[in-house]
Amino acid sequence: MAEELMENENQYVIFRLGRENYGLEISTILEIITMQTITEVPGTEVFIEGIINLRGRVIPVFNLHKKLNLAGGETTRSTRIVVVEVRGNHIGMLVDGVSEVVKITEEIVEQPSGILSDLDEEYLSGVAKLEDKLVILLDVTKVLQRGNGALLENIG
Amino acid sequence: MGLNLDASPEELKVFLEEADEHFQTLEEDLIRLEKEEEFNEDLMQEIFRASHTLKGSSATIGHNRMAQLTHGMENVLDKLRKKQLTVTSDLVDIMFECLDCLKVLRDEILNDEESDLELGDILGKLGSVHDAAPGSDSPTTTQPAPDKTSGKQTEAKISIDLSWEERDTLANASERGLKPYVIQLLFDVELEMLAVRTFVTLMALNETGEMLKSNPSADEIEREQVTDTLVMLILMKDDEAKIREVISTLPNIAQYEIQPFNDNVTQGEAPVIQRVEKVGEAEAECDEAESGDRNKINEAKNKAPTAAKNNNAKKANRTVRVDVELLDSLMNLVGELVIDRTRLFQILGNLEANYEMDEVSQDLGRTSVHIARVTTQLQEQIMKARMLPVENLFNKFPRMVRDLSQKAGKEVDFVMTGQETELDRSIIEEIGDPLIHLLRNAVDHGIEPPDQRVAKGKPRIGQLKLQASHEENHIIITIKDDGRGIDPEVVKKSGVKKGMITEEQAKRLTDKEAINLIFMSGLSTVAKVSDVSGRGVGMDVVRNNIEKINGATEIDSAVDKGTEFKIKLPLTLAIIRALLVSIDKSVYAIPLSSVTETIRMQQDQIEYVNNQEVIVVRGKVLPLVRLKKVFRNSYDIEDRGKLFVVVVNLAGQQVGLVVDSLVGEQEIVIKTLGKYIGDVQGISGATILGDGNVALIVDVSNLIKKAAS
Amino acid sequence: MPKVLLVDDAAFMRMRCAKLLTENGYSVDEAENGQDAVEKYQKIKPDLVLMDITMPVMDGLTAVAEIKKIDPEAKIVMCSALGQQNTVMSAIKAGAKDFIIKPYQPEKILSTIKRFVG
Repeated sequence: MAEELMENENQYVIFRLGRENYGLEISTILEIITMQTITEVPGTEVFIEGIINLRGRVIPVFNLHKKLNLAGGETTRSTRIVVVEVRGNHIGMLVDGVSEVVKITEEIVEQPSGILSDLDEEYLSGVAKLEDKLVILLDVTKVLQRGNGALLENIG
Repeated sequence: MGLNLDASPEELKVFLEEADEHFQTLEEDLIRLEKEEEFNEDLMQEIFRASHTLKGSSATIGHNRMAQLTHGMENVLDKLRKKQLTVTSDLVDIMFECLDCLKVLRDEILNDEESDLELGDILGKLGSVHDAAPGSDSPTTTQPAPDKTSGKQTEAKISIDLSWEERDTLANASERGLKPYVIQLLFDVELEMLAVRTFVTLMALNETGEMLKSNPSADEIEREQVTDTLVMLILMKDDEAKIREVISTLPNIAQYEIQPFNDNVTQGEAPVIQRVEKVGEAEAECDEAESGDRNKINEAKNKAPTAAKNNNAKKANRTVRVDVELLDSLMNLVGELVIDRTRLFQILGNLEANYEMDEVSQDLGRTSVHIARVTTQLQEQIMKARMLPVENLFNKFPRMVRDLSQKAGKEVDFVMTGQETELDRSIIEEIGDPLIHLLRNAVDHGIEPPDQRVAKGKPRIGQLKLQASHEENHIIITIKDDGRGIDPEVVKKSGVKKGMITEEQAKRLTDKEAINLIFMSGLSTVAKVSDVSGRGVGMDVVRNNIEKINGATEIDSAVDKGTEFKIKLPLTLAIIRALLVSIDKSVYAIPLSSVTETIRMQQDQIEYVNNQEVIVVRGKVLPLVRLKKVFRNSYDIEDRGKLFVVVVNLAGQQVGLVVDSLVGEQEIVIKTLGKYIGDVQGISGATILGDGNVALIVDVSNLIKKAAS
Repeated sequence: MPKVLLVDDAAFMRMRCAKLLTENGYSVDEAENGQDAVEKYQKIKPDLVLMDITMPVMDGLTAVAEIKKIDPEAKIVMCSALGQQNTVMSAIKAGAKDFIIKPYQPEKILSTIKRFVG
């Protein structure tokens, strides 16, 4: 799938998680909303923050900090919930702030191997070298799948 | 491999819908036919018709195997109809087997793929049943009437023997300006329904003049004594061109000859035409002759089969088809309206509390009340639109019970009532399996073998009743048998033996409590595990499935009197009334259907049994479950002195849920937690509150089970 | 446009046949049993009736007799399955003009209808 994406120019939404910049392909994103009251669901995995009401629809919210083992993650004024669609399911992901939408071409994307040491490369589809920053391109399906294989099986 | 059917998708849709209707008719009527002591002609006619129509339609779309099977069925049904065969359960078995095969063949259409179903076996059975019947000397594939050998005799001379009267008429013909002609016709080879074709031809030519004689005669044709030749002697005003004109419009005529009748022929010999092509050896594809006894058929029809009439009434309903998804989405939208309605009243309450009410806010109040009322109506209407009669589910049970009782060697009179009772379609989907299980149990373990029943002084035939009815805001489904009942002592023993209860506990149990033990997992009192029930899927699963949809099960049983299961179901799954409580500032919803009462009590009223917190309510000991501990994993028991207990009850088991405070009662729209989160212990779903926040719905049955273990 | 009244209790068969006929320039009305056919015949006065035999409420044979009572000139073609010889024969005696054997073959239906209504 990653190869296909990079054949052409693609638009990515860039957001911050801790000190790093991440990118998600725009077509996977349904909307970006401000922080909401999240209802905790007892007995679920730590990276599941809880559930929210998205216009009458109950959707789960995912804590990317906890999922990717990153430091920080405190809720601030810039905290946003990025709502993505994975195999027909709407899922929210907590991020530290959304900065911009950029076009990324294949040429500036490198395979993740060797660039990042501590981040699990399996979540990534690549690393884009923009003029002023590095953007880690996330593969949302893989992020939501890791450790939850069975759950996503269910979704599919 | 695709089926290559000759039909458009829309046509197939209609075909499939009709096929299902016919399957249903066959299923219901065959059971009735078997059950009814007197031969019911209307019923038989209806069965025949269903099979007949299926045959026609399936042949038309080119589903040859279905056509072949229905053809075989029709042959046998025709024998039944004519009372050349009698209804036996073996025969009904064969018919049901056909029905099962038909369903496989129907699915072939759905999958557009031929199944590996072999029809040889069932066709063989049908064939031997059919051939064993009287009047079946000719096997199904040959047409009795057209005799091939006599067909070949067309090469020989065909004579027209005239009686003296006929000769007289002939002699006088010229005086009346009529000319006699001999017409000899040769029909196409291997013509289907040759006799009728001959008859139609005869009738058509008859109109051109005055027919004096034909060979075969009209009577012979009617008796199907036909060859592929028709010779006529006709007197007419016009000349032979007129005859040619008529013949040219008639189908299936291979050759013909027209000659003026002359003396030569008067002597008794007609001109002869010989078929150019050879008469093929292939057998005509004709089948059995239909009963000529049409009076009887008409009589049967005039009695007007009621089912058929109902069917027509149904069709006359003004209905449209709506996708289930659309209904679901409508229900969701109404759910949102319900939430907003609640929210609106909260806002109004705030307005009234904090501001002076002026004209505008009073107007807002009135409008809100109106919106609330309309929302309620809308909610009811859409709920109604999602309702289906339980008939759709019940329909398959008579057949199932019949098969089960046959297998188990039981005699069961199965009666269903209240099929018209309506339930939300999602609930109907959920209760199918539990009902099947309970019915199986009743046949398998409840009702005794006939001899045993007789020995007990009970009627030989066991009674099994399935009833659906509407009761206030619930639907009640009862399954009642007059079998051996459940012996509380046996259940107790079994419970002790399996270590589920102690002997001490067993002694203290009332009979009702003991019987309720059968709902615990792992307990089965059945000595022998039969093919149909007692294979792991136990009563606990039945109860769980029903509780999952906010239903409740009750059981009432007496030894040798029988057992009755009562299932109480909500009208809908989507919207329920709930008690909202708060725990650690979070709001939780407890379905009101399981709440018996709420109690405000002092901390020091709590007592301990086996290190378990309990309270005593009117002499009854209730185990306490602290929701804070369950959901927040917080152990700090606030020493505020007073606490709120929500007493919940499911199937006779009571537990007190300790909460921080009571928020109020409200209608809530049930939402699932979604597949991503999946099943969560103690939580059955979520709902959106008036303030837009999400509250979790407490899974009462899960908590009770936990408390019990 | 010649009017044909299609009588069959199976909606599928009607649908199928109606399509064929409309495509070939006939105006088609449908009836789902004999009774329905008799009523519609009076109303519509079709040029031709295609009549199924085995139907609920009123069968095709009875319907032929009823229609002939109303209109002795009625042109009725029986639609028969194999094995209904005697019934078709009775229908012909009762005044039906011809018969077609199911499963329908489009050319046969069309040629038969053409003979009667052009």
